[in-house]
Amino acid sequence: MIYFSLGLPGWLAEWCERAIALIADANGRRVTAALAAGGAAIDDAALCAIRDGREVVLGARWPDRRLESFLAHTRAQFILAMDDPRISATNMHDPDGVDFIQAARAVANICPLLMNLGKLPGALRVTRTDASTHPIRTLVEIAAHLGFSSLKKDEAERMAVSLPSNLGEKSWSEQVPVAMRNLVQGALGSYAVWFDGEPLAELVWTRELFFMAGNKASPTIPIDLRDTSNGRILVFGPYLELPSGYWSAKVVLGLSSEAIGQTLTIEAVSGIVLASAQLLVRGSGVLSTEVNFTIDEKLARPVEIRVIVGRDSTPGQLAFGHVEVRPVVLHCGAGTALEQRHFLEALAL
Amino acid sequence: MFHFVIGLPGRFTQRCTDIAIACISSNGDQANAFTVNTPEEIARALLEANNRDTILVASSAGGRIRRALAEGGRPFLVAMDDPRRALFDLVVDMHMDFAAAVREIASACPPVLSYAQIECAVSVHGNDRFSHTAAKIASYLGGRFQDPTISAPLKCQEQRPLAEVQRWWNSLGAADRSLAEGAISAYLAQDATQSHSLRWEPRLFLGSDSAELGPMDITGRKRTLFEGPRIVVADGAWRLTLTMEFSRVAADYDYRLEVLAGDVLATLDFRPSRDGEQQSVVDFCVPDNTDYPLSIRLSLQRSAFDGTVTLKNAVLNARPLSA
Repeated sequence: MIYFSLGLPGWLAEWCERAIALIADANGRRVTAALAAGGAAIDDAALCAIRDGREVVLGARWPDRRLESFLAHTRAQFILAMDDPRISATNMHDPDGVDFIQAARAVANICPLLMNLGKLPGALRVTRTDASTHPIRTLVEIAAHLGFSSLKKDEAERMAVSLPSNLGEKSWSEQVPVAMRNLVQGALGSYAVWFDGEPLAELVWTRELFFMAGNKASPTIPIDLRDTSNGRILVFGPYLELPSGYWSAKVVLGLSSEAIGQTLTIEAVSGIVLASAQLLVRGSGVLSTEVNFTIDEKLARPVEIRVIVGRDSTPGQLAFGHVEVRPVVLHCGAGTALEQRHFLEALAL
Repeated sequence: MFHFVIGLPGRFTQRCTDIAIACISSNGDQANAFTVNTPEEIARALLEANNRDTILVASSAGGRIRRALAEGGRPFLVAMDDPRRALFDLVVDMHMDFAAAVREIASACPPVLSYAQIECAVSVHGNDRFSHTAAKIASYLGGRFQDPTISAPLKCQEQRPLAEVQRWWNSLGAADRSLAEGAISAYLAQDATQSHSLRWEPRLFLGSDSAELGPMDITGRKRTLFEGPRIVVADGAWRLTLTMEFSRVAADYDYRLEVLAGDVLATLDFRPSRDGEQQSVVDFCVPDNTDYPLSIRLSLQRSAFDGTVTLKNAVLNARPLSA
C-alpha cells in the first residue's frame, strides 16, 4: 500500500507525514517513509515499495498535474496538508537565492492545483489549525480516512506527543519585511482563506510581480509612454495561474495630464488573448478598468495582464498600481418566467 | 504483501502467475494479479490491491524497477521460456497480429534475461516439468504446493511441446519468418545476454499516417516520415545501421535520423550522397535506468515536391562500451 501525503514544504507537511507513519506503525504495518517532488512521487513510491517490500508513506512536496491526474484516476485516499501559503512562501525564501517575489510567485502558482486536489473525493484536507489545535481529533480522522483500524484516544494522545511541534514558530508577517507584506498577502492571502474553508476572495497582484517592457524591471517607477517595445506593450505580468472559473481583473493605473486623450488597451492573456478592454484617458490621476475572462480547467497556463499604449510616440507618463483579481459568480436562471419562455422558444431548447 | 514476476508474455508466465495465486489461495488468502511494466503501473496496482496479496506481473519492465529489485535483495520470480513458444502463444492462441506479437516478445526478451541475472532472482523454465515448476514457485512463496485440487486445473494448461512450436516456426512464410528471426532469434542462443545483433524489418515501423510502411512519398511539408519499432533493447552501447533506398529526387533533400528511448539518444543529420540504396550509421548508448523502448525516427527537414524513400531494414549491433 502507498499512503500519499501532499503539501508544500513546512511544518504541517512534516506533521502529516509523521502522523501517517505513526498510525501505520500502531497498526503493525512496516512502512518506509520517503520524500519526492511533483509527479516523481508516484514512481518513487512504487520503487520504494519494490526495493523494501514494505508499505510506503510518500511525502509529495510541490505536487503537480501528473500527481493530480494519478490521484483522480486511482481514486486513492490521501492527505492534503493545506498549510497557510504565506508561511510556505516565507519557508521558501532564501536570502542567498530565492527572494520574496520568486517565493510568492512559486507558491501562488501551485495554489490552484492544491485547490483542485482538495476537491478530489479521496482528499482529507488537514489545516494548520487542525494539527496544532486539535491534534488528537485529526489523528483519528487521518487513521479512519486511510483505512486503518480506528484509533483509540489514548493511542492518539501518545502519538501526538511525538509529532513535530510548531510552538515558537513566528507568524508569516513577522518573517516578511514590511515592504513585501502587501505582495505576499495580496497574492496568497485569498488562498489562505480558502484553505481554511471560506470562499475564495479577491487576490491583489502588486506591481512587484509585473515587468516593464523596456528593461524587464518591476514597474515601481513612472513609465514614459514612449518607452515601449514589442508592439507598444508598457507593462506585463505576473504569470500566475488562477483556479478555473470566471474572473474579473481590475487594473489600477495612474496617468499624467499629458496622456489625456490617449487610449490604452488592457489585455488578459493565457496562451491566447482571453479578453481585452480599452481605456480612454479623460483626465489625469488614478484610473481603473476591468477585464472579465474565463479560465478553462484544461488551460492551466499562467495568466498575464498587459497594458498596451494605443500608438507610438504617445506623450505622458504612467504609474502602474496593481491588479485586483476576483472570482465572478454567474447567476443562472435569472429573468421572469415569460422572459425564460421567450429564450427557450428562440433558442429551440 | 506483493510478489514480483517477470516473464515473456504467453502461456508460461500466465501459468506461473496462476500457480502463485493458487498457492496463496490455498492458505485461505485471496490474491490478485496486475500487469505492470512501469513504476506508475506498480503504484496503481498497489493502491488498487489495498493490502491484499498481489502478484505484479511484468514483461518489459525497465531499468529502474530492476535496480530497485537488486537493491532490495528480495526474491522474485523470472519465468524463462523459449521466445518462439511465447510468440506461438500470442499468434495462435491469442490471435494477435504477427508484427505486434513479434514486437511484444522482442521487447520482453532483454528485460527477462537481465532480470534473471540479479542475484535474488528465482528462475523457472518453460521446459521444466509442471511439478518442478510448481514446487519452486511454492518454495519461493514460502509454502508447499501439494493440494491436488489446486494442481489439477492448472495441469490442464500444459506447455506446448517445443517440437510442435518448432514445426510451426518452420512453417512460417518467408516474410513472417524473416521478421521474427531478425527481432528475436538473437535471444535463442545460450549466451543471449552477451553481445548480439538484431534486425528489424519495415513491418515493425509505422509511417507518418500510422500506416504500415512501404515506399514513402515524401511530397509535402517537413515532417516525420517513419517511426518505430518501439522495442526494448538491452542497456549498453549499440550501433544502428539503417538501410534505406532514395529515389533520384528524394536524394536532394535533408533528413534527420533520431534514436530515442524516452529521450533522444543520438541524432544524425544527412543528405544522401546519391540515389539508390544507402546506409546511415549511428552509435548510441541505452541508459540502464530507462523505462522506454527504442524508437528510430526519420524526418524530412524541409518541404519536398517529389520523391520516395523506402526503408529496407534496421540492424543493431551491440558493441563494447570501450569502442
